[in-house]
Amino acid sequence: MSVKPGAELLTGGLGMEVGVRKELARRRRPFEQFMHGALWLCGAISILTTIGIVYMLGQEALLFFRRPEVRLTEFLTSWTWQPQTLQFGIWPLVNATMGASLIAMALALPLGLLIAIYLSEYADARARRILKPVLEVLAGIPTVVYGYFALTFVTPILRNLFGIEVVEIFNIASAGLVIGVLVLPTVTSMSEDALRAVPVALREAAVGLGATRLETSVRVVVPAALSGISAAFIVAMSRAVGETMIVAVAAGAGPRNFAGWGEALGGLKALNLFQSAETMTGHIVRISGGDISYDSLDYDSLFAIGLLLFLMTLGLNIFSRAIARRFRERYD
Amino acid sequence: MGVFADKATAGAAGWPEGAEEASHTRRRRSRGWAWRVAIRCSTVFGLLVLTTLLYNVVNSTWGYVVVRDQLSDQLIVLLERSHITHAERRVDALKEVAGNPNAVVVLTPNLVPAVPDGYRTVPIGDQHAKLALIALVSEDNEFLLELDETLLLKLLPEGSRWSDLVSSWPAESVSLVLVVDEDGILSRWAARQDLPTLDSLGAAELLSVLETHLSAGLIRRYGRDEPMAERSRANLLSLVEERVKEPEVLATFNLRESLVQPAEIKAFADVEGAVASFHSWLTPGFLVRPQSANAAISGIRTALLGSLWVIAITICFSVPLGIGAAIYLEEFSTRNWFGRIVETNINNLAGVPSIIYGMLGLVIFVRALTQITSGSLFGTVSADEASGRTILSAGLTLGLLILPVIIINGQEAIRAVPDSLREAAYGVGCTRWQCVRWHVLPMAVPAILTGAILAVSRALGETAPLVVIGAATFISVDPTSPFAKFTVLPIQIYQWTARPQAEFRNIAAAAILVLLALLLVTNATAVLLRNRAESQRM
Repeated sequence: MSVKPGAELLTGGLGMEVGVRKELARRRRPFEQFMHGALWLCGAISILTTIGIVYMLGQEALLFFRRPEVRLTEFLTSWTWQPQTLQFGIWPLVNATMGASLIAMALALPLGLLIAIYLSEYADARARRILKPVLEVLAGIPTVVYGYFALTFVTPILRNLFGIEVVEIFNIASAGLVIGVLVLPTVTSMSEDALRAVPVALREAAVGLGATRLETSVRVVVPAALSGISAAFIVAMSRAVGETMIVAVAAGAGPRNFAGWGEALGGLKALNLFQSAETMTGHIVRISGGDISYDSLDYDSLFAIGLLLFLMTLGLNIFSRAIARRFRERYD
Repeated sequence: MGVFADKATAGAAGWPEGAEEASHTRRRRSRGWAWRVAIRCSTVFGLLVLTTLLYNVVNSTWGYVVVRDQLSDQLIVLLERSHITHAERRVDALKEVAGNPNAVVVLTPNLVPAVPDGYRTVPIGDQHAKLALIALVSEDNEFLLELDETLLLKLLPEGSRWSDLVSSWPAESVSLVLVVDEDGILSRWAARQDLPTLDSLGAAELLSVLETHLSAGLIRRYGRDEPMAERSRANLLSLVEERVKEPEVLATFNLRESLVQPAEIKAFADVEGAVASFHSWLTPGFLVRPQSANAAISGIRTALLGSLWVIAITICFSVPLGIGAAIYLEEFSTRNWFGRIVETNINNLAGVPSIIYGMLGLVIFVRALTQITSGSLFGTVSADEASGRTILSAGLTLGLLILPVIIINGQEAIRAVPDSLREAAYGVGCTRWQCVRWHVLPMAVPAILTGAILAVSRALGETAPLVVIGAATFISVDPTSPFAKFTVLPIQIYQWTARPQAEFRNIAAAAILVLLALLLVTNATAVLLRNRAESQRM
């Protein structure tokens, strides 16, 4: 460890010999080194976790794809996920995941942005004092509670609105809407941070030119904060994709299979969000929650789904950070 | 920007003027007003969702339940205190009395079977009233035609010989069989007698009730959990309530329905021959009773204890590690390559879905480290029974899950400590660790703890990873060590919500209230800590 310039000055001022200073600097301090090592280990654990995740997902997924019953091309292109008949096509699960996530974003994106605009541009201190804790409380509610809410409150409302024949008891739409509520605090707080980071001078300039408050917010502040807002949306999307308990409770227990691309997309059947369908996360939870024997095909298949899920969320997170960095407007 | 470009093109010759300008301004104003309303509405939406969510839970936690007991309290006592045998079905009853001239089968009119040879029916009470009964008696005993309500009521508790009822009747001993009906008429009939309540029975009597009504195999199974003779009276009573009384919930009503239409609910109960009562699913008993297959008497004791055990392990594992990593990243590794990698890595880890951590826990803690997590290495279980699906695995998995959150919060807390403090410490000759230990940490501890508590409260509500590593679906034994099988509160909620019966939704709602209260307490602790730290710093 090098002696800091300040320390050198100080000891110099005390008239310490150069030799003594060097000796102090070189003195072995076992406890210091031990603490350094221990803290280094703490940091290393996080790296080990990542390695663990990548290794176990990769290893078990590899086992899955090595099996003679499984073909990678089928996995990536087929619309049937039916482990009993050895059909492993990932698309029914991905379709349900995307459906729920898109509904969630359709709710959380406009609402979250509007609330963020309100908090950062319109609200006075008192309104913020009330609203911020409410959003924090919403963010802190366990997801299984949201699942209960979806099944016992949102689903009956949807069934009343659109008809009992149209909306099944378990459906993607209700799960998606509630996931939207779940990620709302994420969108709001990240977007608000981005909006507040825009310098006041920009707002003052706009108002000085005669813009209304809306015009200032929407045409000056929001575009200036766009990178941060997009990052917020992508992070929220990644959370929606990985959300488990809401879909496990409210979306249904069984993948919605189709014979092929033609059947799935012809007539847009796959896009019917009022039917029950199982998402990637929902499938993992249902299968692993039952009595599953290790080393079975079912068990291995979960890790293939897990790997895909991990790659999707990791990709979204990296993308979000890249956007935030790449398109950030700097005001100095 | 756009707004000014609009203005420039608004009038053909530059800026709008006169009436045109006025209308243009009006338009902009009204647009601003409309959007302001929209923005306010979406803000209200947030408040609305929270209120609805709470309303929905509270609405299901209280309300009327219509319950019909398989056997009422009085009937159980009656059967216990007298010579009566009871049969679940009339077929059993007929078998019981076959060929016995001194047998009487008492049942309700809707249950009367094809009368077997040698028997005839005697109506008891007003056949049009609700409490009508039919007695099935032997044709050999002519005098039994005189059997009526008063005589039967007398026969029920004490009579064992015909001569006890009417002195002219023969001194033959009676064998009386009651067929338990679905409408509860017999129960209400028994209720007309002056009988002690179920609560007043002693342990010995309760045990005998169990032995009469449960099969020998079932008794043996319970005996294996805990010998019947050693069980406490309260334990026996709860067993009697669960297995003998077998309360069946016919319908549950939520709070709104209960407040708006109590009369309809009571009428419904009367028609069904059941009892409607206002029920709170959240009671002190709910907190301390173990899990049960019957919603009405199920509790969250095991789940609550499981949650506390798991969280304790999570805290022990992840809080020291997380704070250590945060210190390392902020104080020791600034700007070296290792620090940068760890930083990026932690940010990525924080975005990994919780279910992936569950899979990690399954592979590492449950399977690879079975010897440690099942406790077989320490000799608590034998190696061939070892299962890694224990509290220890769950705690460690959740620990890995919240580690990134604790580290990120910890880093923020440490970063908030002013650099002047560090410079002063180095200035007087502190080593790095001394500077951290004596100057940085004391300043940062409240903020670090706040962040840690918030992370722990997240772990408290986490469900998916624990389902994946294999929480037990049904356990009624308290966890006693880190190597015990476990279930936690969120999992209990999940399993109850997934059941089709309405009453399980009610107890799920009650459990949700408990979970939310628990989270409220932890979060309030965090906020208090933060406020105190802030006021001290002033």
